[in-house]
Amino acid sequence: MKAWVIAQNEKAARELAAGVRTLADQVQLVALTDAAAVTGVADEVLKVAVPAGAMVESSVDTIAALVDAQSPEMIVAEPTAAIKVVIGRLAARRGTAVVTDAVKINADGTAEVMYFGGVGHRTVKPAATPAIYTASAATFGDAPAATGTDTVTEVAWVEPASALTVKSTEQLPKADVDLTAAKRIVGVGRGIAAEEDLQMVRDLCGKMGAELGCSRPVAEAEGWLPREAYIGVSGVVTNPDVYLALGISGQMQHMVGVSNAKTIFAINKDKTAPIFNQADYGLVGDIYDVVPKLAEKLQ
Amino acid sequence: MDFSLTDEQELLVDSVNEFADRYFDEEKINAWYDQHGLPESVSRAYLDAGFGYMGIPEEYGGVPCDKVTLGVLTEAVGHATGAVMPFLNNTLAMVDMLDMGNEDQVKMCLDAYEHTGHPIFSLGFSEPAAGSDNAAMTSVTREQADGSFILSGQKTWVTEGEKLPYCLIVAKEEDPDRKNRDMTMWLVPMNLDGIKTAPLVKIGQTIMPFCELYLDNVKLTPDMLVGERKAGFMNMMKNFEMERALIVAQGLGMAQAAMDDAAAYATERITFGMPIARQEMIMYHLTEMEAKLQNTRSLLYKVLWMMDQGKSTQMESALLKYYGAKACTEVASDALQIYAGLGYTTETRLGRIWKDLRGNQIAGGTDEIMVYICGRQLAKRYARK
Amino acid sequence: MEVLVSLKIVPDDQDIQTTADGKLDFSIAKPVISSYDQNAIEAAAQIEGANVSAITVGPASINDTKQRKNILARGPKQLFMVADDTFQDADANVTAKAIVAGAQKAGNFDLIVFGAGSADTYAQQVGIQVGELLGWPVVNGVSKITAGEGSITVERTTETEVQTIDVPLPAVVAVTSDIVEPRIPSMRDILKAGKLPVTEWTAADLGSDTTKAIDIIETVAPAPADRKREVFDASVDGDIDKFAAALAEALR
Repeated sequence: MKAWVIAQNEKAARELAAGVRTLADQVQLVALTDAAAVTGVADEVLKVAVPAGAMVESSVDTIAALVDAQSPEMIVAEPTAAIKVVIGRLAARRGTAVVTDAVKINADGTAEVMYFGGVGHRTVKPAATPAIYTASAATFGDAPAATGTDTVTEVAWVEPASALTVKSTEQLPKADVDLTAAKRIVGVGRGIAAEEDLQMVRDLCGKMGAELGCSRPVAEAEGWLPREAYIGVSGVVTNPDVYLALGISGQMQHMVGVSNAKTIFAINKDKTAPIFNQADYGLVGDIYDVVPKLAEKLQ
Repeated sequence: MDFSLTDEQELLVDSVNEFADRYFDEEKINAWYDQHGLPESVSRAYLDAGFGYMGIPEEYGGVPCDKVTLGVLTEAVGHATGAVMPFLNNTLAMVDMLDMGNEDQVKMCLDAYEHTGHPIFSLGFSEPAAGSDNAAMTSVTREQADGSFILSGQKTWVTEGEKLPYCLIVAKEEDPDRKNRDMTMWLVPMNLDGIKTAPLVKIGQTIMPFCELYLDNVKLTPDMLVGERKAGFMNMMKNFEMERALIVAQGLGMAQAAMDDAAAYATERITFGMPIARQEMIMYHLTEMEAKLQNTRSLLYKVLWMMDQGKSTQMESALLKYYGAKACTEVASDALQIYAGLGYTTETRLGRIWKDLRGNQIAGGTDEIMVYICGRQLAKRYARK
Repeated sequence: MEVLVSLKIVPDDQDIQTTADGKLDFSIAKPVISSYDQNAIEAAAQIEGANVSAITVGPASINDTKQRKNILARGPKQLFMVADDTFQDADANVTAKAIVAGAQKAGNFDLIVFGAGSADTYAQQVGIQVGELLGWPVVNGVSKITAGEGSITVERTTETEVQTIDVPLPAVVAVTSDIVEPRIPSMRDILKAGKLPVTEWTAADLGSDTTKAIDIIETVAPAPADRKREVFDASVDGDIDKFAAALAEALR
């Protein structure tokens, strides 16, 4: 079976190529940027050279022509904003629909996705080919490292009939955190009353060698941590060995982001908080009291 | 008989819950209780969200709203916050002023309300020797040759009296004697000579603090007169029935909040190897509590419906206040009991709810006065013709 | 500017229960506006000069009088309701085709606005497909909309940057979940909502292609993760130590 990876970042290119290799014998990596044109991970890199000044989103015509030429049966794409537009428009043209955020993809085309943020799990199957999915490294679990050739083929750009262009950009502060790779994570929730209080948590993170994440209100409503730190259904899904939740109630929408963790610890002053039912070790207590004590004990 | 809320009423409750979600949490509420006040930003937000315009007559920018819906609003706020908030008092005070004030007074009060979300006047009705027995008030005005009036006396339980710039004071004309029922209402600026306040500390409902008011030869001018002279007594009584119903509505919401907490807890708390909800005494508490909540709710909305229909509710509103205030206090007390030791600490809100609700057996008319009102009416009603 | 906001009505996930045999039970889950769509409705209503209509496509159960008023209390002046069991669990392609048909039947729109993703599937695909089917420019991740002359200027947030893009109309945008806080409908809004027009259409009225693009094979409630569930209490002597010891062990 021939399968594609579509990516615009190096990390995703490697991870998805490795994953797709477990499903298909022929893997092509469609790279939408130079960074994603990684050799040695796929049988062939199909490099789309987006012209200067053009948006990645404008590559739909190019990709559609490439699909016609290459006939992949399966496409697994990196879920960036730009790629979602490209594959969404491609899907509309081909009368199909993208299976987004696949938790698992099988060689027979069936995939598992979350329903209501994890309240349910669904098994679905696209009716037509190519079957299109978005996925992340977590979808493929511990796939062996990707293998491939260093063949790179330039793909001719098909100029779209009309295209949007970006007038100006403002770089977002670079998130110095990548929770998807973190093996130890401490998450904070509404139990933290003020931004200054994050300091004691950061101290604990230091002692634990852990990254700092949070639930949605802390990132969106309060804005104390960047969006990349938000763990949950519409944020980051993590895969740590240890997850410690501080002042987090345990809502499904957050917990799906850590359900893969090997061991879950939770501290919350409400003994009825749902998180205690989803943790391996829970401690009922006031985080303001407990966190400094824990940091001390972990010296 | 349709006992369901309309779509509009359900959406109103959703909006209240959303409002409470955004503006209230236990930490803030406890802080406001300690500070004896709600930030103006919150009362303004309540107004901006439209809740503060409900119950205000349409010609003054109010939203047409029947009394049942006003009850739904009040119950929902009590339930969503689990606290005594000043909103119902604010609305009732504004309704009184809009009803009785002259053009200038109405304009001033409405402008201030639209700006801040709360009235600019407190209510000076009760006195140390005249609460239930308001005919025993001795605050008195004496008309002067130049057309002014000299006011002397003392008021108490004046809610927000220390903060607000005006006070709506009821005083007798000329003669403080009990037989004299000529009472007049005045909108008195609090910065006049001869006015002094002294704080009182309540044990509950502390977002709305009380004070005592000392009136020492305060000079009033005719522009401060509110409504007809000597009609103060009747004017004071006008909205008492609605006030009784809304106090019960608020209390009902809060009692329901206490029930929500305690009943859920009862299914989680394990003693003797099982959730306490399976212990018969706890089942008994929960059953009694639910009966009181449902009875209060049914009676509340029936009375409000009667008011909307223009029926007399002289007896029923007193019956509601009598039954509802006590029932809600009992629900809160049982809820606290279910939490046992934990309920007796400030780790839960049951103690606050219980203290607050206890006050409703006094505020807006004591249990005993309600019995007096009902008793007389019942005798009349049931006497054989 | 004629603006159409597309929203989804879904069961309230707080009331979804699990049956004994591991399936989902929706019997007490009332229909609600999908959470992020509330932000989209508000964003549409706040566009300067916008005359907003709303459209929603789903199974028959979405045609709920309370939700109709809920939608109309939030800014839209009229609602197009396509409630037909043909659209039960409709995928993005089927839904997009229906919305395209509905939009064309409803009038001439300059802008169609979508939310960040629906509460049930969070696919974030319907708006993109609608744009493609109509042949209009489509921008996702829109965090700000400014009305122009025959165009809008948007701020669009990606993973790394905020882009400013001029978008000629007609166009489709999908907004972010935090573009603007939804209003709290006031009693005034709620009362007016009951008087605003609702047009109901069936799948047959639209005549759009309803061939499934994705087959749903099974929906189950996930087995509760096998967690130890050992709970300590900070107020009990020695418990914090036990918790710390377990944490230290896991960190080794």
